[in-house]
Amino acid sequence: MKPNTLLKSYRFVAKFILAIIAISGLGSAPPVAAAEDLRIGVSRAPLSLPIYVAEAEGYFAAEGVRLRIVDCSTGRVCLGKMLGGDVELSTVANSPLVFASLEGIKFAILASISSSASNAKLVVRAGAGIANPKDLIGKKVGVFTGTTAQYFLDSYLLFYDIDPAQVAISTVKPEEVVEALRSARFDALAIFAPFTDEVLEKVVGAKALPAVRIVPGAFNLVSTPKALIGRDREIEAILRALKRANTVIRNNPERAKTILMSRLQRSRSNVESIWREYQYQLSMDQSLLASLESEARWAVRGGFVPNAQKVNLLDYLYPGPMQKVAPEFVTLFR
Amino acid sequence: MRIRSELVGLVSACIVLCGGSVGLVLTYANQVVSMNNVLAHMRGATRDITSQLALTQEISHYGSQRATTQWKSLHDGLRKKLDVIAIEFPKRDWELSEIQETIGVARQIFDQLQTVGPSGPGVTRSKREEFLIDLLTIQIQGAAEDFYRISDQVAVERAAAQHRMVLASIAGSVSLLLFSIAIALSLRRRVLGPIANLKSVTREFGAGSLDKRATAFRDDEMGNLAGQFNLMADRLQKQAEELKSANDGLEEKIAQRTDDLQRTTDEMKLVLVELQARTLAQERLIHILSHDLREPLNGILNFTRMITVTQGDRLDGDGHKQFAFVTRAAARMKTLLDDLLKYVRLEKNEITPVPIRLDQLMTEVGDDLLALIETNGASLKWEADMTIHGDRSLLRLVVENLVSNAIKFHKPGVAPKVFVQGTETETESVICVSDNGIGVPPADFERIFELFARLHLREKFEGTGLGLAIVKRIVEMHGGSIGISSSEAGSRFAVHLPKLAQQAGE
Repeated sequence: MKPNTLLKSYRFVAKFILAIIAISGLGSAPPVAAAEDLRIGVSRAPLSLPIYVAEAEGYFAAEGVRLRIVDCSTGRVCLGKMLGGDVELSTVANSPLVFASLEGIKFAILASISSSASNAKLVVRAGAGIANPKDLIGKKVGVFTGTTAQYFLDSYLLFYDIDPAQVAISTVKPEEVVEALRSARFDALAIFAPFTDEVLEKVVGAKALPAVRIVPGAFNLVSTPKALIGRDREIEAILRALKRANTVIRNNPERAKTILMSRLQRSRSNVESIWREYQYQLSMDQSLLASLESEARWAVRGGFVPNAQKVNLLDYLYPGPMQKVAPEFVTLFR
Repeated sequence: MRIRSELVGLVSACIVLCGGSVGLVLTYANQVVSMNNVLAHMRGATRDITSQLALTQEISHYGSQRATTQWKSLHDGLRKKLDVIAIEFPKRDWELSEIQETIGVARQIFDQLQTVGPSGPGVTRSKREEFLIDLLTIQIQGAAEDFYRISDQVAVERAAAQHRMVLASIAGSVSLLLFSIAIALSLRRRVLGPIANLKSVTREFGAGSLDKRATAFRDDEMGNLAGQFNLMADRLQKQAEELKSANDGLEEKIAQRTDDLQRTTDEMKLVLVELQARTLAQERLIHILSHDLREPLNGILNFTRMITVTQGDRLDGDGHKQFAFVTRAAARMKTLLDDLLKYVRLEKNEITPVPIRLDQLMTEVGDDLLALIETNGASLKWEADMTIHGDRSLLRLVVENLVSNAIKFHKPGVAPKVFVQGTETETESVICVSDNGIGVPPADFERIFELFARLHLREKFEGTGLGLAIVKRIVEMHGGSIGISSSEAGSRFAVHLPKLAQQAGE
């Protein structure tokens, strides 16, 4: 036998042994921070209800997960915390994810936990002279740039055949919304819950333009590739807990509403009024990918991301845990 | 009535339950059918919306007019199908209305795309057109996903309804089975149980356990039957106890009577022994009478006659009278001794019946009594062409005594006429001795048959007073009887001798 051939044989045997070890699990690394609390950044919004219900009902603990909730004002903020390493998981809508992906940031979408085509709204100031969509022409509209609200606003204007150039669009920060509208710095705001409710409640005469279900508005559970290492079982446990929570929301809505009222300090009437705007369904489907791709094209077209990289958003979907927990809701076919 | 009511109740419950089960099954079946219809419509709608998605892609790339027309057609058909689904599936009307809204949005976007021309290499679309196509695509994609999701949920609900239908069927069947078992058990408990109990108790009661009672645990037919049985058992037990008590008394009485009888028997034995002793003494007395007394008496008679014959001439008139008196007394005493001896000997005689021709017997009696007949100038006639059965010598003595009495007790100066007539029936032979004598007063009909009974002075009519007693004794020894009828015209003695079976057959 030639030395080269012998060397190849040893390598083959070594690979075989390693493969056996890997298959049997003997060689796998211990779960990262398995004994530590997992942290999840959660937007203080009705879209986060499955997280709240699972926590309130003790489903995370029941599934053997120690999950600590970290409140955020928006999904974009939550995503920032996650990317900054403050939390391992985050809830976030499509748009911040699309922007992050175009910026070359790696993350993993684990599942959509809820959705709402009415979450983003246009709230107009009294006296701004805006009674219907066409009245937005020539008006000052504030928007949460880099969020679903921005995508919603562009879609809204397109839907009503309004050239965005005819509208004075500029950025408004979440913490400025009430003052911005009250002071007439803006005639209208393209924002989403819970800021919509805050403005409608605190700004006299403010009202929302009739909603149009133009943006699907998926709300997702995401993590970073680093945080996912060795945490498949914990992620599956979290998804199982969320699945149970969605069952409670569907079968015992009163209990879910009570939890939402308590968690977000909302009144019952407020919760009742918005209840039907949300769908709570654990999923990872083709429409999510289509939406992400659509938004990515929109962001690139709009030049919202300087030096946007070409990405395959399918690579950002991490369906493994969902395949194990709720395979019936995984309908990706690319 | 109770059993019937219970059965009616059970059967009614069974019917209600079966009806309920059937109702449930029909309800679930109706749901399944309804969901099948919904699913069929949704499959059609899903096909339409999937085709729309493909057409959207085709329109976005090639701007085909054919695709545009087909898209609109599919859109109109889709809306109608959604309306139908919303009607048939009101539970999901809200989600369906959202899909309608999404499709409506898609239509509005599509209408804005009417001007879209052919795409492809070398053709550049405006950003607006690309945005519209993207929006249209995600609307259709979203609607399709919603359709898939609702279809899956409907399928799950249909499976659940089918499952419930099967469960209802099983529950109904099991309930029916359980009710059948319950009815059977109830029947067994209500009917067969009491019957078995009654049968067991009856068997034990019949075997002597009189304290056994049926379990009358219900107020129904079987309970009443058991109650009746128990009442009957109570009565029987009471009667049995009374009978036992009576038997115990009877046994005591029997024992008492047995003791008494034993005592009497013992006494009788003593009496018998005493009687035997007396009989022995009597026999000894008879022996004395017959031998010891007759010897000296015969001597007296013989010597008296001899003295009269040999020394008669030496006696005067008084001497003859005195000797005659002694002779008569001695003769009378000898007759008395003979009769007495006859009577006593009768006690020891055993009858051996033989056929006796009565006419022959009468001839012999006539011969024997010839001297008496002639002396008294009597006439003796008879009709005796018959056969009697008995001891010949004893019956001859009977007839002889009766005929001699008839001759002796005649009326003064009237020649005695004696007539003996023999008659017979199927059962008895009757010998009647009639005379024309002095007769017997009715008051003495009984007394004349007693020992030493005399109705007249010895000086008037000779006799020992034993004749009729001997006659009666002999007749009774033959199982017969003797009767008398008497009037001034005379007396009539009737001797009734029973015919033995053997005699009657001769």
